[in-house]
Amino acid sequence: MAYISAFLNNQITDSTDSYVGRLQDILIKKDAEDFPPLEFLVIKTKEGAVRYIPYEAVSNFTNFNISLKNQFSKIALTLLPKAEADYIFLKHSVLDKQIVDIGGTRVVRVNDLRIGNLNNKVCVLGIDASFRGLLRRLGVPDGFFPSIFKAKLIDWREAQFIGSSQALQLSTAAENLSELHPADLANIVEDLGVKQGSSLLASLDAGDAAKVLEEVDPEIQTILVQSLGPDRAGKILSQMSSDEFADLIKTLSVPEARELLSKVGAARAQSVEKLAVYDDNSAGGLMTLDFVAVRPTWTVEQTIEEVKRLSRQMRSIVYVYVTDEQGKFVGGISMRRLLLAERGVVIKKLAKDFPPHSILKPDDELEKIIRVMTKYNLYSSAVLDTDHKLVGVVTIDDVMRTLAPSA
Amino acid sequence: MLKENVVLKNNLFIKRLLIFLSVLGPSIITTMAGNDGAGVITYSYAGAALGYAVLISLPILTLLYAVTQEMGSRAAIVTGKGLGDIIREKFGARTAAFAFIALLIANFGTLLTDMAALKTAGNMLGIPALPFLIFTIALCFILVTFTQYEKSQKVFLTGIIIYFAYVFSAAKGNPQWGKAIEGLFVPTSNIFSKEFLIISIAVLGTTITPWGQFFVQSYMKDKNVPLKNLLYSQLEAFVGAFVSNFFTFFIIVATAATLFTHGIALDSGESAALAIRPFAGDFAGTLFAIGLLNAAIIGIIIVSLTSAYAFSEFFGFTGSLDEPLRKGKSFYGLFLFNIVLAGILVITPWFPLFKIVVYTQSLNGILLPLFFYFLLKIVNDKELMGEHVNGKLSNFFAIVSTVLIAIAGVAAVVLSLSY
Repeated sequence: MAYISAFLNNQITDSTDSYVGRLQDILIKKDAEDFPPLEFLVIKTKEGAVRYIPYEAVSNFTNFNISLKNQFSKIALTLLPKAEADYIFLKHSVLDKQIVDIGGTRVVRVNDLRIGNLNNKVCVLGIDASFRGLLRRLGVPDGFFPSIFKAKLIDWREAQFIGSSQALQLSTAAENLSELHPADLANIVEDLGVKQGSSLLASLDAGDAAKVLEEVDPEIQTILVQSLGPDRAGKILSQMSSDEFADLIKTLSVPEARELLSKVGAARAQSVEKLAVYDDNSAGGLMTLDFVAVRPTWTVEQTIEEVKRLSRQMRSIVYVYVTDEQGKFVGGISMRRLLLAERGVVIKKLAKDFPPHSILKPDDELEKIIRVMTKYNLYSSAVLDTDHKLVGVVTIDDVMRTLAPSA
Repeated sequence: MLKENVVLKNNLFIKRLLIFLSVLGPSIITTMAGNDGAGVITYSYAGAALGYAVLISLPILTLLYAVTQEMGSRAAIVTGKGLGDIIREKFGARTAAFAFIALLIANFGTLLTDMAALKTAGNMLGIPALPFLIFTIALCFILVTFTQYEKSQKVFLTGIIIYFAYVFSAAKGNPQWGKAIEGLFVPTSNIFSKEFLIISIAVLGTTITPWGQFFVQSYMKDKNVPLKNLLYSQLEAFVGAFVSNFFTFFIIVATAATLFTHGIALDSGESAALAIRPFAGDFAGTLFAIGLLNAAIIGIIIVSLTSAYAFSEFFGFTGSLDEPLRKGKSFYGLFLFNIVLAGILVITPWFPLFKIVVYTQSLNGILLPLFFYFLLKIVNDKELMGEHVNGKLSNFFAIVSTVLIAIAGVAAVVLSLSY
């Protein structure tokens, strides 16, 4: 069981058996794959100076003895070969800091680091965030009551570092993060607090970040957007669905809202502004502008192509709606019927005109929406304006959200 | 389209005032909590023993308080971390463990004092002790656990209004306002007497505390104030220190005008409410007791909350008032454990309350300069604070404050141990 705490501050001797200094820190490469091998030892000499020793020059690396192959003065470096920013200082930047444990989807503190042999190199294997790790740091040996408080290791690859004022960037681990469900990631972002949460968001790609931001508690959403700043926020928000975007805009001050809307492009800004007019719990306030609409004369084949084309942008597609050239609502067809139909059939033949009472108006209140959707077994409901034009769609997840806002 | 308030746009002052009101909270609540049960008892005693003359310490105290609160607020907003977080990350697990355990013990001592003050206030108002304590503890737990940050802040801020009871109580004692104002700025001849120094140090020690330093930072972190509003929060630190010592002024005047003027000595600050009755009237006495009750409850909640925050920061859990119970079990659990244990010990007849209180006051005194040393290192750390690192002027004030507090702290320990 080799943990970094056992080595730090230990004395180091060189080939002449003379004491040269104490181990102050250990460096790994920032862009290392999987389990990073130890690259350099940072030594504080007797005189108080800082020197770097490449790990290859180490002959012995145990709790009791750290010794070097050659004479200290011959191998000690005053400067690192690459920029300091290319390395991670394990003690300075990792130990005692908070990390995201992706496996456990929680935020923990690094109490200790596990190192071990891998492919003939000494590498960092994992993070000990357990109470046992903390006890070990405080000097309680592992043999003390070994059964209580077992050390639990977090695989190094499952740890996500949180950007802060230090040099650690989030670039490499972003892939791991995007494997998490946005709702779980949203929890983590909320746990991290403003600064670190916004760093985390900024490190994801805009589409993923948008999905996460949508799941974050509205109050915290606002704070995060403010912390990100209009440029970064703009990139993420332009990938957000328009109803969520509109809800967010309502919570910002006028100048802030204007600035954000200016970053997302005129068409988008317009549709968001249209939505923002409506009351939060009305059909207008709950609806999304993202829906698939096709002409009555299109074939099933063309419709499916359209669905494929638009699929990436939509959160969910339950129905395909049919509108005429002026955007007036003609009918709708469920995805199931679409899949089962013959490719050449014209949509007009398949589309059902929905019963008049199953269609919503923008001012319809939440109660009515719930009644309508329950009565007609709808997963999403069309919203038409006074001209009978299709202006938006209320989906069931948004309705559920009003029933359990803090889930 | 988007709602616009034309009047608002044109009135910059109102706009700024609204922002200020929106960030208001952490600092002012922390400083008010400096007037906790322990504080009120100390101030009452000071007023009775030294009269208006002791007021001279207030202006300097206010300045020191403001400077330290500002540093804590700034650190919280710039780094997004509490003091416990930063001590762990910057100084390592061992130092942090020591700091954490010491803080926990010191806080518990203050908590005991406040719990005892609560019991005393209940007595003064004729409420039976045990049910009252149980009721209050339950109330505190429910408030902290089941409300989120915003609501809790509103409740605490409302508690501040109750401090006006002291203003009325003081006025009823027919004080010589002229002498009181003079006491604030003009030192009297006995300023270097042993009694004066002891009491001034006690006043300092109950106003500027380790937990006060931790709480403002943790609470500020929980509030999530955006960096762009930093200036307003810095302003709040000064406003908070002023408001808090504003009420301290009246607490001291209340006993100075009645007890000191008539040469009545208090054997303990707790009997102040009763003692002032013959001079200021029954109502004034009742107001004083209500004020003490309020102060004690605020102290109980905030000091325990400080320990809970410190616990989560040290271990790296999230500790936030916004968390529901199931998520923040350890956070709320530690809070509950603290107040229940304190409640039990205060009721236990053979528990050496006074001794423990004195020793923990001393512990607070020793810890304070240590934590300020950490704080100074933190606000001067460019890597942590970026461009908001301490400037020369801030450092001057900060170092002077720390030195004064250090001397006072050491002196407090020496003096209290010679009791």
